[in-house]
Amino acid sequence: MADGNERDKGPGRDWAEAQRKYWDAWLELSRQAPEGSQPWQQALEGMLKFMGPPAGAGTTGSEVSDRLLEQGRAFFQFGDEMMGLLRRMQSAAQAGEAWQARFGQGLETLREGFGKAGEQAAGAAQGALAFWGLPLDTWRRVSSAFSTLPGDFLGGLKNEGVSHLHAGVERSLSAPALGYTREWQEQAQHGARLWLDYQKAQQDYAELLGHVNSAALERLMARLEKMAEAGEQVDNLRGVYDLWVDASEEAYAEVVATTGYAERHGRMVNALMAWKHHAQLMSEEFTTAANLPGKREMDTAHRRIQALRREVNELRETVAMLQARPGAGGAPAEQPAVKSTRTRPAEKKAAPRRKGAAAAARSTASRKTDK
Amino acid sequence: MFPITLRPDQMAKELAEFGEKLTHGSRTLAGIGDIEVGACAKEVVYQEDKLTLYRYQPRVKQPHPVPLLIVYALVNRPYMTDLQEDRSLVRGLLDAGLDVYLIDWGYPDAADRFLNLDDYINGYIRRCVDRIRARSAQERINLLGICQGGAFSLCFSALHPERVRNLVTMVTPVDFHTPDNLLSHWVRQIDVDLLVDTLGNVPGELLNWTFLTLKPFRLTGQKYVDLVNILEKEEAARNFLRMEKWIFDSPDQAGEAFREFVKQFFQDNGLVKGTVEIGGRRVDLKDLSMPVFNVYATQDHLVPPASSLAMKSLVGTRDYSEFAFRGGHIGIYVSGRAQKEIPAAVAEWLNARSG
Repeated sequence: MADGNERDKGPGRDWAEAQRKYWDAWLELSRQAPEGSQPWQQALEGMLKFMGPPAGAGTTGSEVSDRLLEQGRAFFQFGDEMMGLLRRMQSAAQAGEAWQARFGQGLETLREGFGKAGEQAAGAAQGALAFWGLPLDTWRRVSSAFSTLPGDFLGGLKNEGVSHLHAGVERSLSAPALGYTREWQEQAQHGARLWLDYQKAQQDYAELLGHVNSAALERLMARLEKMAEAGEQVDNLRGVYDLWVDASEEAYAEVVATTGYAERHGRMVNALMAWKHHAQLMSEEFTTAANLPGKREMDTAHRRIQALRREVNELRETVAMLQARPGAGGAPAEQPAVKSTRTRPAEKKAAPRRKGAAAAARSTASRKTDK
Repeated sequence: MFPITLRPDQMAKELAEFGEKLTHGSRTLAGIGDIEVGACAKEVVYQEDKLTLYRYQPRVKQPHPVPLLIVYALVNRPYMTDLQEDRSLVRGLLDAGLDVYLIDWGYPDAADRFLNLDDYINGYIRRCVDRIRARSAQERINLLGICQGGAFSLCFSALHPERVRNLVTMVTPVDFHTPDNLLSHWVRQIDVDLLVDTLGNVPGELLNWTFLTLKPFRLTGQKYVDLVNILEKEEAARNFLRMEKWIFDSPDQAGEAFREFVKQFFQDNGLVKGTVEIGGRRVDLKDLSMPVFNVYATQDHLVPPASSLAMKSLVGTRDYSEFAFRGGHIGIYVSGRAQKEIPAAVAEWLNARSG
């Protein structure tokens, strides 16, 4: 590990002094911005308003555009935060402190800031979350489409919060059902338990993913120390960003290859499916009461139709084979398969088959399906 | 010394430039209009349900007499094989003199929920193959299976060897339990019966999420930060958008087929164990008596090379060859080097065996 005290003497002190002046000048500029604002993001918003997509533009690139802007904002935010962090680093360098501890603390603070913002994040602000690596965020967006209750309104709850909630609700859910609607009450209780199970599974998954951030931080620090020892330098923000992404991917790859991750990932998906499946069964009660076809009926119908279609295909092929026999007469109902014969070369059989193919193509065209 | 030597004025300049590129890029995207895919002329030769069988217009006067049928995966759209003029595996194969057909599986909906592997392999693929055999007056045709379509082609060829003259597989998983197979590692913990019983068809978006979470920081973040440098040129932007369109154009998966594929291939590793059953018949790769050409990508993060290379010890043929492409699962179709290497290698191998 590099020793900051040793390294930051002599020319190093001069460098630090020069840097401090730069940062002080920057700080002065930043102070001119309103309290709590992020000048670079404001500048970006201004530019977008001025040069942004014209109203009514085509939608082809709109999703990509959203992602682009989302990540652009996250990159700007990263830049803003990095500026603050590096300014603090200058004072550490001046004081002759080792940079490792100060930088590590700074990055950790940065990450926590993104995490907190993420609890209230919505829309474009989620881009910053994605930057700090939350596959869970994508999962929430995807899974909400399968949920009877869209979104994840316990998303911001800490794991212990879910556990307490689970325990409390479990007690009330354990109360025996009574009266005429007893069965329905039991089903509702079971559904509530399944929903809590899913929340718990999701929190467990998120907790494990949380380790990725700290592992990424360790990797980044190790990488920077190696660079410092080798005398390598990063002199642009994008370079720092790429270092962070590399460290994050490496840390993530290590975590997701574990059995623990696969188990938690599986539990989360399975828990969501169990809850949704139960919700479907309960919704069947309503559709039945309203004399509407439910999922069960539709599944039965589709299953039977598919079985019939298989049979029809088999029958068609059997008929075609029988009709293709010498002396059977009649045009084939379906294009016959080419019989594998070793006595006649394939070329000699080509002409009649082509005729059959045309007939078959016509019959196929006449029963064009649901494209 | 601290290895990050960023000055505030440099950072300010960098952020300003980034912002400028971002706004210009945003405008480029907004004005780009619809993104077209596909470069080669083709005709519909057969349709059934959602399936369409295409024949590509030959690009040589005397195409090879033995047709080649491309069987693509169900999880993405097959136009990746013919994305654009200068990124087209199909075009390369046509230029090499081959007569190319392709199955487009279409987009399954709720009515297709009970399609199973028997329907896909012994039904759809067999009928397409028979259609091509009849059209071309060939008893046996060549198959080129890609990714999951490669696994289907292996099964089809093992069950119907009398219909297949040569088999080419590309980035095809065989051993689903190699240690580096992340997808399989995750999928083995999923209750696939519950999943399919609940969802019916499996949404493409769920599969997309799974693929993105293989490399989330690069695929959901860094890629779009890199994009600002691409968007300066409209053609480069179009190329990017074609890829993006393909990546997120994931059809839903017919529930029963998905259930069977996950259980038999991912969870039970049935191709290696010889336990895969389709339509009541056991699939034994030892029944692959025809020549087999196995093309794999050395940096494939979806189908690790070891997964593909397991084929060698399982197939029955004595004529087995491999081709290693230095690249990834997507690069094998669209990279500049792929355009030169892959069609040429496939055509050369086929020409040596289809004369």
